[in-house]
Amino acid sequence: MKYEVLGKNVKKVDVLAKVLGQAKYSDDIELQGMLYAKILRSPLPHAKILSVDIGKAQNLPGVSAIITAKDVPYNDFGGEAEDQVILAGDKVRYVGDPVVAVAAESEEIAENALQLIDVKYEELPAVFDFRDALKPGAPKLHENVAPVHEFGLNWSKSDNAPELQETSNLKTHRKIRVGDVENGFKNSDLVIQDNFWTQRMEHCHIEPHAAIAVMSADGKMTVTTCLSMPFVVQAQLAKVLGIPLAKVRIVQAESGGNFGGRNDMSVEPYAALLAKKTGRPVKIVWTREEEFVGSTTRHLMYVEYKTGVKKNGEIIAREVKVVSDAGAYTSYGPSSLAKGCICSSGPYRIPNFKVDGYLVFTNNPVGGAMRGFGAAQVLAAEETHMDHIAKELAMDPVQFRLKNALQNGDRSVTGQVLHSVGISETILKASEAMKWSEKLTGPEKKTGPVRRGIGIAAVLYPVTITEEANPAGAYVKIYPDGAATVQIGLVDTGQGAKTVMAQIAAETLGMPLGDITVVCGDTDTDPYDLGCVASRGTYTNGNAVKLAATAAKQRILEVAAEKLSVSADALETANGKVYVKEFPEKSIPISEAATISYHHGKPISEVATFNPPNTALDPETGQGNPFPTYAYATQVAEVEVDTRTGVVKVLKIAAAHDVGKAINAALVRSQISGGIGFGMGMALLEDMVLDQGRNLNPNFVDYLVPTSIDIPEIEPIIVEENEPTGPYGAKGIGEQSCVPTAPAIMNAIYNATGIRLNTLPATPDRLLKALKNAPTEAI
Amino acid sequence: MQIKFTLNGKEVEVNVKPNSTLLEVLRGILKLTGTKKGCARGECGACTVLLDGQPVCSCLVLSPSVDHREVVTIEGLGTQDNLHPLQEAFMEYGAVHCGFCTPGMLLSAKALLDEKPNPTEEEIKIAISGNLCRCTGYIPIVRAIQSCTTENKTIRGLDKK
Repeated sequence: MKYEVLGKNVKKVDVLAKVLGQAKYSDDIELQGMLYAKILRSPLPHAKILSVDIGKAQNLPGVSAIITAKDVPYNDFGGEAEDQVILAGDKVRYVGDPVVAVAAESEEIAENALQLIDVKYEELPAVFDFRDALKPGAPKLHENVAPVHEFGLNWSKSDNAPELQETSNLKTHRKIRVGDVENGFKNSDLVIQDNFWTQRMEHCHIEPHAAIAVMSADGKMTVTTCLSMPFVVQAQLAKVLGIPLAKVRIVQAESGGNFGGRNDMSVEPYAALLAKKTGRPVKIVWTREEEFVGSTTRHLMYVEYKTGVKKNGEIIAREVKVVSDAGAYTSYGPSSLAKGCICSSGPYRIPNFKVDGYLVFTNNPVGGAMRGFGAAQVLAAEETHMDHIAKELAMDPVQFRLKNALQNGDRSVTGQVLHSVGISETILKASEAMKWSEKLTGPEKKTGPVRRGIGIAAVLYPVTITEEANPAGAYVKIYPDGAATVQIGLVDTGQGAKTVMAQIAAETLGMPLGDITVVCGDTDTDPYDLGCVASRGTYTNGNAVKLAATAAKQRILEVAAEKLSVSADALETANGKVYVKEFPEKSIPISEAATISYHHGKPISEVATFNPPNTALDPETGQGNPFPTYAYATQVAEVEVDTRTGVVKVLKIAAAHDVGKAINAALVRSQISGGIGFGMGMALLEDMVLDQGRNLNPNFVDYLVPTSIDIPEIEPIIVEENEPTGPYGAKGIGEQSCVPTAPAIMNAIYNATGIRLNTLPATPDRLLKALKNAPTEAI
Repeated sequence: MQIKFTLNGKEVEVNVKPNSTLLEVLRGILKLTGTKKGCARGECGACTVLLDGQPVCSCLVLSPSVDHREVVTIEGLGTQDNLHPLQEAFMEYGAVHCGFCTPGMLLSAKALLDEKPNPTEEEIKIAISGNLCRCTGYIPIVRAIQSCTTENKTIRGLDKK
């Protein structure tokens, strides 16, 4: 299929302002009379609030207003359960829980005011490990959480499974049941078990959370901020303020990175409440320390795998247990757990499958959405487990995966018939690119202090939000001069949504790309969209744009048909012209058709919505169609491990990603390199270190994100397994790019050294310790 | 106290608090918001400016110390009608995603190329290693900078379909 605009490497539309330093992020905006807000946070992980004395702070010159829990019309909020509070009233549940907010003439005065506020706490017993949180008699974080019954996890070979008849820190239990795993294990030649720990991580978008709120005289609250889901936060904020949704306007400033860190309402309510109280604009900007302490994190997870296989490598049965540490509040814990459970099969055919997933409260920072959303953690465990099985079978890890890889027509473990399954092609292409067969030497054969190894990880990644309706909308207007505006509700947080939508509109309308302007970022005027999350942007908004543009094009064809005295289906558009298919010289510019329509009193303006037909899973069997489709990816990593220092250098990663159709290949490739950077942090560097719930490394010196010298050579490979329900066949790329990286690197470390770590990140000290304790044959 | 310095080629005189940082003066007093605040601790590089041609974290520079010196910010790198080659390259090579690290990156790159017009890939990576980017994975940025070396090296991988 030959496209005019799609698949081409067109420049991103918003980059000029950014390279000039003229793009306005929230903190770049200044309003007359603006105040600055700061938040006083709990220093304790679990405590009752006995009293809050703001007297001295209120008297500090320059302090304009101070708010506590009683000043919040509706104090409860949360992504999936309203168990989090804007300002803690009766108790705090994590170090960093907001208690008081201050607005003052300067940031310095606001900070000084915080020092003068006296909060008296009564410390409560706290839990920091989910194993403790699940024990009978454990300190209870929340009331009204339904108790759950025994579920026997095997924590390790030495610990006993806790007796868990009743616990009230268990928020969610998800299940999927297919076939009969016990029977499956009986019929297997080999049964392998593994467990795995993943770490708490922070998004670390370089722009901190920041917002400005202004209340107008007629009671309308406008908040300029950077969010991933403006319409969701609009509703949350309206509820907090106790005003109708139409009285809340969220304007998206230029966005300095997202990765899930902008999903939750965070700075907005404080700015809004203080703006309402003072009658002045209020700006709030988090410090980098607040980013680590106050923002949501990636959920720490513990995963157990048990897989039964035949000698020939066929997977017969798989049983998985996932425990997700929610931290102090629910946020997006349940659906990230659900996504993790659904993906815990890996991209493989599994006739007998059982997964149990558990979300547990602890007095730790709040777990929320982070790129990969539960699946990143579970698939890190799954793909290292697959490698372990391959080793026990004495089978090539690539061949083992190909043998079990899903194909078109297979069912997922939720019983959904799958199409556009590109997994095998990604496995083949990535392994070929790295010369897998040549390089595959077992660790037993490696000698010397510095060793090289290769590793593979193959994953599936769903497109759009789990189990839920998540609509998108689009308006397309064609002006009399032939240019068009496309308006969407999706926000561009740097990934290039505006560019991709412009390309889809241009291709559909038959117009030059330069004639299309994409606008978004204002809840007052945009069509409703669930948000820039779940790798759904291109798929949902692209479909909405294509539908609206198709309708607008049809209007053009009808007008031109009359003008050219042919029927509409004899016409086509290209390059800004409408022409007769059989006699292309017979044409009129689109602008002329648009002008004629205008003069007839029918300006060309079309609207469309799109919603994927996701269904909820059965709570007992986990069966249903939670997504419209999946994307697939394989990454192969080559590493060099210095066994004297434990330092791992990643030399090269070949990354083959099935995106359905690359609307903009350059953007897909840069998502792949960006995602690999992200995944490398998960594999080797990033770890939020807590001590009794206190963050010990809330800065970039001690929490290491990858820098330019950490990045390997990357070979991005685009695989296009056409998605019939996607716009021009497209699926998604945003998250799958970071998911295979950590397990590919872990598997390469094993291949280099014979050490199979089961904890992320693979830091030098962990590797050295394992090397020291390793059986002598591996050294 | 009064300080006088050259900012993007022009003499400026500003009244500053002795303990204010250059970042605070640029953004708060001079209203030049192109230089970004990412951490205020010198750890992310988003606030990078050139001080006498050298890349510095402006959040770590006390403003009195720039008296009688030369400061270049992103606003001084190029204009819409007269873009610096690095600015054009960043746009062309997909090196700009969210754009928050971009001003700092561009200035670190300019400082490198002004000193060494033909750096190796390794030298480029080291020159920008103090500028954190969470979006691009750095490779498009390195390619963009490479395309501006006098040798104009051929770029492998990322621009091939």
